[in-house]
Order: sequence, then structure tokens, then C-alpha cells
Amino acid sequence: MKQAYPIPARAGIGLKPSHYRDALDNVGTIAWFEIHAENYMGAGGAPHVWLERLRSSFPFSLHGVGLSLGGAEALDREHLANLRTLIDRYEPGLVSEHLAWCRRDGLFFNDLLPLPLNEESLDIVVRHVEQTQETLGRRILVENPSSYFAFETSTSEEPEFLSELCKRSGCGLLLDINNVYVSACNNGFEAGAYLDTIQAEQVGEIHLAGHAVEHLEDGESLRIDDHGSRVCDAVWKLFEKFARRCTGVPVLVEWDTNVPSLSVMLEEAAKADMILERVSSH
Amino acid sequence: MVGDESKFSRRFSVYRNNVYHSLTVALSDAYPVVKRLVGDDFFFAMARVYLDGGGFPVHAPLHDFGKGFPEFIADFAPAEKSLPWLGDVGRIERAWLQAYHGADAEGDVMNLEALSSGDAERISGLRLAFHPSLCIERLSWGVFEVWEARGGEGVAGMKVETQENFIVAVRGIDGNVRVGPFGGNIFDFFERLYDGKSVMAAARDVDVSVVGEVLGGLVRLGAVIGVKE
Repeated sequence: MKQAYPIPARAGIGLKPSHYRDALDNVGTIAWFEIHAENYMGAGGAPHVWLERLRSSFPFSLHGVGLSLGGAEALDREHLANLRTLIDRYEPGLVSEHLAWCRRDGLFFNDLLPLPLNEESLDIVVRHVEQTQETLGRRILVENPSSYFAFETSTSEEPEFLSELCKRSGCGLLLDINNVYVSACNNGFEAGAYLDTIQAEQVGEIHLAGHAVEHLEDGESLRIDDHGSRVCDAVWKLFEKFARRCTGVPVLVEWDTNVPSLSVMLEEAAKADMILERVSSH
Repeated sequence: MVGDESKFSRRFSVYRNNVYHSLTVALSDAYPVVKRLVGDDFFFAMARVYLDGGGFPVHAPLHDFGKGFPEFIADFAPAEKSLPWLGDVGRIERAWLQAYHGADAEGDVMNLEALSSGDAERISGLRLAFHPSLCIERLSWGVFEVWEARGGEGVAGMKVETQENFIVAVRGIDGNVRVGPFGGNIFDFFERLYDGKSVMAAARDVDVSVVGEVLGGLVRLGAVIGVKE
């Protein structure tokens, strides 16, 4: 399988329709784009016209949100076939999905829902990742979720679960450091300690994003992973520390709600690039 | 979950709210004119009833999501009294979206000059090829102007009447989606053309002036991409 445009170990940004035009004026500045797979599963029209135009200037990473790798039900074969079609057409350097579920009884929930982490769920996710990799003809990366609660039926810590998933299925880890921070704050564990247990050689890509803080009725506050603002200081610090022992990996700055101008997204990517340079010169 | 029951329900509701919120936003992206006509609060309440009544998506890509929304709106009692034609506005928006995501045409536009030759005999023998993104909708209300005004100012003064008519939405070769209104009773003519019958065979029970109007309208929309003599 040809991979014409490998993803460089620099900071990329998510591709947003409002930035299509501006992107072409920033060839050389934008290192790479992440493409949300489900937004390009229509038969034709403007979305594909733009991808065709942009692909000659930018490497793509294809990021799915609808496969339901963590669901108890069988994977949707039609969805897998659609992914394969996109991959054959646009030859992304990386393909990734989530440790989450989003489908049940034939309905799609359009959100990344949580699963208990235990032997039973690990077996299911391993099977689903293997089936995905077989159908797509390539290795995928699986992203750690952000979570708002922990399950009583979980018997495994998340880093351990993900590491086991990588070992058994051969997939890599898409480490979302904002998700680690959001989950840590919401569920009362140390984000730094979580990151210390991640095996750097399993990480194929890093995600950074902003999140919101919501105040619930009882005065409790909850961090919501909404990708709607700049990356917070705490996440930058965690990233810098982790990047010291995990080099040569592409980093993505995500921004999906209240999408700002392209220049603001590029400022965030430049910050990530500065950190990558700083840690590599040490 | 780990922790007490009420904490669980508060946190679980974050997921539930995210699901409803994201799907409601997807619906409002697909039906911006309907939303503008009824206002945000009404739209969100209506979307919630739609979702709970079996409107959840069945596929992860959302470009087909909400296909049944226009039918639902047309029967939605709280809207029916003051805006009985709201469902038809939704039908135009759905057709627009279908044309936007529809398949691309293969090859270049061919031979259209025969259509504009003005030679009635030549034209009557033509067979037309249409852009694959083309979508035709039958409407019961004359709502095209309401949609064209995007539900904005000026709609208040419009008188919407019961009237069988059609709209055609198509993404032309230039990539832009165009929507055009057509008067009543052209559906059979159009369908026969679409099936590859010659203009003459398709127009067997249609007035000559209507034939010219429909062909002109389809060409202006960019719906015709090829002509066989």
C-alpha cells in the first residue's frame, strides 16, 4: 500500500471547512492536517473537491469518530468499507480511532461513550481493532478517551489497558494529553502519574486541545472535553514533560467548536512546535 | 460507577446532553431556514421530539441524518397551525443538502448547444443526461420565496398558498448548488426525461410552452450535462 505523504513529527491542525481557502495560502506553514473521516463520506461535491486540492500540498491524517471500537456489537461493515474507500482515495499517513463506543441497536449516538476497562472489554476491543486493521490493510492508532466517571466494573487502569491493546492487536496509541488531564481532574487521579506509565514507543501521535469547565448543581466542577478554546497551561506543561521522553512523534492541536481563524490555530501549532524544538535540543 | 448515585446521574447526564446537543446542532446545520423561521428555542424543542420519536441517525456520517425531518415537521402539531407549510421549507433544505453531497458528474458537459438552437424539431428528438446530484421534490405549498429569502426579514409579508409545485436542486458543473421552482404538473414529463426518453416522447401530454419553460429552467440550473441527438 502506497503512503505518499507521511506525517512529519511536527504540529499539525484539524482541517475545518471555514479554513479551506486560507489553507492554500499557507503551504509550508501548515505541517499537516487531520481530516475527520465521517465528514468526507458523502458521494461527491465540495468536501471532496477541497480534499483533492489540499492533498497535493499537505499530508493528511485520517481520524474517525464513528467506528465504535469499544461497543459490544459487531463493527458496522459498511462504515469500515467507507473508511477503506477514503484511505484508498486520499492515502493518509496515519489512521486513528477511539477507545469508545457510539453505536447500539443500529443507532448512532454521535458521541464518544465510555466503557468499563476489564478483560471482557479488552477482548472485544482487540478483536475490533484487528478486524479494522485487516479491512483497512494497515495499522491504526487508538485514542484514549476523556471521561466524566469511572466504572465499578473496571479492573484495569487505562494506561495498562491501552498498552495491552497495543501489544495484542498491533495498533499504536494516539495519546490525547488533554483527555488525560480532563479525566484526571474529573476522576481524581494524577495526570502526570498516568503519563509516566505510558510506554513511549507505543505512541504514534499526540493530541492537544482546549476544554471547558462546567459547574454542576452541587458546586462540583467538571472538565468538559469540547475542543473549543486554546490549550490550557497545565496541558502544555504535561506535554513538554512527556515530549522529552517521546520524540519524533507528530502532534495535533484540535479545535472543533467555536472554531477561530486559521491564524489562531497556527499560533497554537507554533507553540507546540516550539516545545518540540526545545525538548529535542536538550 | 464509582461514587454515589446522585453524582453518577449528574455526570451521566453530561454524556446524555452531549448526544442530544450534537445531534440537534447537526439538525440545525441541515435545516437553517426552518430554524430561523421558528426560532432557536422552538427548533431545539422540536428536534428533541423528533429524536425521541425514532429520529436518531443510523449511520456515523451525518450527511443523510434528518432525512425524515421534513415529514415530521409537516405533522408537528405545534407548528402546523401558524406555519402549515414549514415541512415544505424543510423539503427544499433537504434537497439542497442531497445535491450538495451527491455524486460528481463524470466527464465534461457535452453538446448543449443543440438545446438552445431554437430548432423545435431538433430539440424534440433530443435525449438529456442529468447531473447525478439532481434531486426533485414535490411540494404542496408555494414556499420557494420563503426559502429563497432564507426565512429572514420580508418573509412576514409573504403570502404562502396551497399550490402543487416542484423544486429541482442540483450541483452544477461549477460546484454550486442551485435550486429552481417549477410550476405544477411537470413531474411526469420530468421523470420521463430523466429516464432517457426523448423530449418529444416525454412531453406527449404537456403544453409546448411548458416544455420550453422546463427545459430552459433545467439548463439554467446546470442540471443538464449532456445531450444525445
